[in-house]
Amino acid sequence: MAYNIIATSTVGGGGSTSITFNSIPNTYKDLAIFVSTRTDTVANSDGDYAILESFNSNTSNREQRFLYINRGTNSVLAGYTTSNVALGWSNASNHSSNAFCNGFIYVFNYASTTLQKSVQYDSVTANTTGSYYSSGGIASGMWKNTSAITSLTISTASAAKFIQYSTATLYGISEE
Amino acid sequence: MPETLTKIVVNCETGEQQILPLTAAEIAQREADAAAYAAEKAAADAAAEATAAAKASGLAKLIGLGLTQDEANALLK
Repeated sequence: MAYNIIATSTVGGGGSTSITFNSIPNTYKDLAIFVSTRTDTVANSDGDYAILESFNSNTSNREQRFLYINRGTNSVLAGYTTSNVALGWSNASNHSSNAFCNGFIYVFNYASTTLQKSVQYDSVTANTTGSYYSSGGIASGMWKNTSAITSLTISTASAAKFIQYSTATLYGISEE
Repeated sequence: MPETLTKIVVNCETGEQQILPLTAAEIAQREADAAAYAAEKAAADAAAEATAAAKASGLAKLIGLGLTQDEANALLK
């Protein structure tokens, strides 16, 4: 497999509620998105959330299952939600200064017009402040729609904003 | 004056990046999604706390019966 950069975006000084990639070419097998995020919100416990909000601006037929490991309490939380496609961690404003969370999202068969779309999301916060430490999580999501994906949006689950220097880079995965 | 919420839109064909204000519909969707997620997370957290409390109670009872902490922990894994 080869990772080919399609586009990248870095949030500017005013912050941003979301990052959308549109006009995605249909020439690859899969898509991958690397995100490095930090939000402007104080997280109540283990972190804030960077989510894969939607494909093609469609907010119907989304669902995901997730598993989170909270380093602060050494607890594991499993859950299900329909409010986004996939959910990963983001560092928050009360985490270590200048620390950003890294996440990796993989979208299978995005250009297919016959298959529903499945997603994996793997992320971990970077934090040494207070009792929050670093937390990790994995999620598997679905967009139960067979349309080819031509756009996707990354945002936050808490209605926060991504702060300056948060980044998202979209890759097309080819089989060569 | 309320803050104008913005979004970044990247055109993958041209590489152009725009910073655009959210529409009223987008703000409403964003608030609805955040509320839905908060409710789902609160329910999951409550369930996890209830499980943890039940485990702690069970652990204490096992120790009360004479098991060591390690023995009780092993039974509850």
